[in-house]
Amino acid sequence: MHKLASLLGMLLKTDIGISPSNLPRMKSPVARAVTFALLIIVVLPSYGMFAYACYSLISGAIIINQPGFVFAALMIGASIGMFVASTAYIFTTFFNSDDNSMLISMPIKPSIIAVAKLIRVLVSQYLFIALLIGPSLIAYPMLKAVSPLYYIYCIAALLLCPIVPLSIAAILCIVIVRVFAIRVSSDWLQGIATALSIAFTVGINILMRKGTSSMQGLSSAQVMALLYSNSHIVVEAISKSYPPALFASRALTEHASFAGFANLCAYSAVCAASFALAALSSSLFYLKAAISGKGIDPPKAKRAEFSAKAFTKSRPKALSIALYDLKTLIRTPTFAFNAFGQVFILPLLFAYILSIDARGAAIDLSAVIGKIPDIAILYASLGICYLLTISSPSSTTFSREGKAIWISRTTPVEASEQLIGRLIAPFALIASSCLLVFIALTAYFGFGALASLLAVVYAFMASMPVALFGAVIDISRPRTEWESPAEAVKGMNTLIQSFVCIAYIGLNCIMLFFLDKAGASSFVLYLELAMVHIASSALLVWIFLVKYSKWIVERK
Amino acid sequence: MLSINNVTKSYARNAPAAVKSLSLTVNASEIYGFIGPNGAGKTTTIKMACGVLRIDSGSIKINGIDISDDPIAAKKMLAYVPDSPYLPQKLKGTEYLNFIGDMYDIPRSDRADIIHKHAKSFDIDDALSSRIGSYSHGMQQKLALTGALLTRPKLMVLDEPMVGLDPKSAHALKETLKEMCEDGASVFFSTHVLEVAEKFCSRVGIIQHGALIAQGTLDELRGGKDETLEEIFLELTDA
Repeated sequence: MHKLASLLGMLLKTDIGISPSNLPRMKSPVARAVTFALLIIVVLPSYGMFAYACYSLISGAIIINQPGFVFAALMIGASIGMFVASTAYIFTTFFNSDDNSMLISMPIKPSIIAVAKLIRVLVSQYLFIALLIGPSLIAYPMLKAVSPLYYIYCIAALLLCPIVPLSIAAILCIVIVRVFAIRVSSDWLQGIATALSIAFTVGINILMRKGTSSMQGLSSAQVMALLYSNSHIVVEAISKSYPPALFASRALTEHASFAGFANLCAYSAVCAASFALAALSSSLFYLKAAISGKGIDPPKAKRAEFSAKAFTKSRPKALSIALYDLKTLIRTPTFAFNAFGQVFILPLLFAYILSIDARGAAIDLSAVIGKIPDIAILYASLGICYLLTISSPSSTTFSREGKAIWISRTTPVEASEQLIGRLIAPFALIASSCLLVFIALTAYFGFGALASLLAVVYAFMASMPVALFGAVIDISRPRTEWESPAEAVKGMNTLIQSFVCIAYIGLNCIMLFFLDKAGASSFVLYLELAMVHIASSALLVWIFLVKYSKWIVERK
Repeated sequence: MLSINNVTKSYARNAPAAVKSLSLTVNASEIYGFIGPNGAGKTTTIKMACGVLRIDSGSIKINGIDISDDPIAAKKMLAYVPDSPYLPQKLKGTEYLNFIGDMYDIPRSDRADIIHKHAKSFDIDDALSSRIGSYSHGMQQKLALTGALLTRPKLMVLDEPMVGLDPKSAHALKETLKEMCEDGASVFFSTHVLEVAEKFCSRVGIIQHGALIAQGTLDELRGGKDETLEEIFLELTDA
């Protein structure tokens, strides 16, 4: 136990030392304070919107007598998020970590090393969980009377939340490396975890539809009667795919009764069992997996005769940088998913899920669209922009290069060429997504060709400043000291860009709303939005160029 | 070719200077060895010379161009290989070298010949079609060196270039650098291998605690005594 505590202490100190939340190194305390204040100004309104949305959802859930619905949904969402985000991290921590050689050579039980590493990953997830679930946990007592026991249950739920997904991820990593003995890199494992999570999400969606099938064909009054007759009907439906969410949700909403205690016990038991299983598989397989080399060492370079033909092309610098960037993007599964998955697959998946009703039939939006005014196209463009840029690859523009960043610093390239080269990949992705959205809007949702074209053109224009902001934030604080590409994607830059994306879209929506209220014509509204997008983009290009010339020379 | 004038660098406001008022010159066709104990300021000086680390005061000129005033023009004349040259793991050797060729405007007609010559001497010519991620540490260093040599620099700046190289490749590197100097280029490199500095360098500079404590040819450093570079180094750094 002493060894485990000591090892865990050392690992956590290392983690805190390389925390991604560290502010950029600034000499002046004034500059630090200003940067921190700016970050808060950017982040807080967006987070406030999220907190308000949670409050409204809880309020709605209480009104329809389904108080635990939001808790269960957030638990499932957090579990999927943690499973996706942490699988590659666990793999790296377990098998690709720099400290492995040192630790394995020490007289410590392999299970202690594995358990310490698992706890290290667990601890790293608590900030994410607190940020995601915290607002709902705080909102609930504002809307419904709770006893002091509720707060204890909240802490327990937060502490237990990451255990099941991370234990499953740890078992998956160990099994893949040891039992199947296949060669797999951490970012491929991330791809596997992501594919599983997409399947899981679709599965939940199908199960939710099946779960609510009893409500199909019922009138509104009958549905309400059903909801009021059983306060867990929705929670039970959505938790079929992930039962721990049901236990956690019921423990929180029924904290004052024995049922709540029993659910907390059940939740704890599930978490303890999954953790014990992860620890057991670690003690059985971890050492053998870690020293077998299978799945860790890349294949040796293949030898082939030198070919002069490979060097017959020369390209403009910006194009060469773009190709370099695209190859890194496409050949690294984590980055590829971040770029293609989140820009193509997830928006289309969500669009599909949103567009079908409980019977599984596509909703005919054409009838609805016929009734909406021109301004709706502009709102739609901002909605599309959200899907295209909420996790734009531009926020890892420089972080993607990792420790090879010294090459970019030492090559004689103008800032403008760097900017063009670096943005070709994200903009090509956004443009391709716009094309897909255009096809989907016209062919699937029944939008007119002109309306669809305007929507995607404006979405592209709105995406420009958001994507440029990603590049600016990444050049301001690139995260290049990573072992696994997931660390670059998981950095604060992606999070900040997501918040800025929400804030930018929100501000534009507010501006449109008030201009419309003031009686501005459609032409003025279209012109105004185009000007805002172009002016914001121009400003961010200028900031990038200034930042680049500063970044190219390290301070430390 | 390289002129470092009164350069000072601190990593934090109240921290002791990592490099203090350092001045040195590397002439054309010269191989300058830069030696010193761990933490003496070698890598800091090298990084400042390549324009990747900000200078607090003083100036550094590459062939008369101030690297702080016109970094692009200065960088076109130099090639740098760090002590741990991490390379883009997902690119193939050929792709990396083509990228470097594009960045330094190397005509495509010249690329294959230069690359073949150096890659063959480092014994990686038949591995270039593989991804860099499959290279060993030594092979990656050889590829980084091939990339640096492809740019036909007037000044080659190398941080611990012999570490990780097998004896054959180390010999090939030394021969290549000598050839470069015969053609008018210069080499500025740091090393802990004093035998290499002794036999290979035209001049040697010894740095300790951020200050240059001695520099000159081996004969100048000996000052008439019959001493090896190791003995001179130990005397100076122990003092």
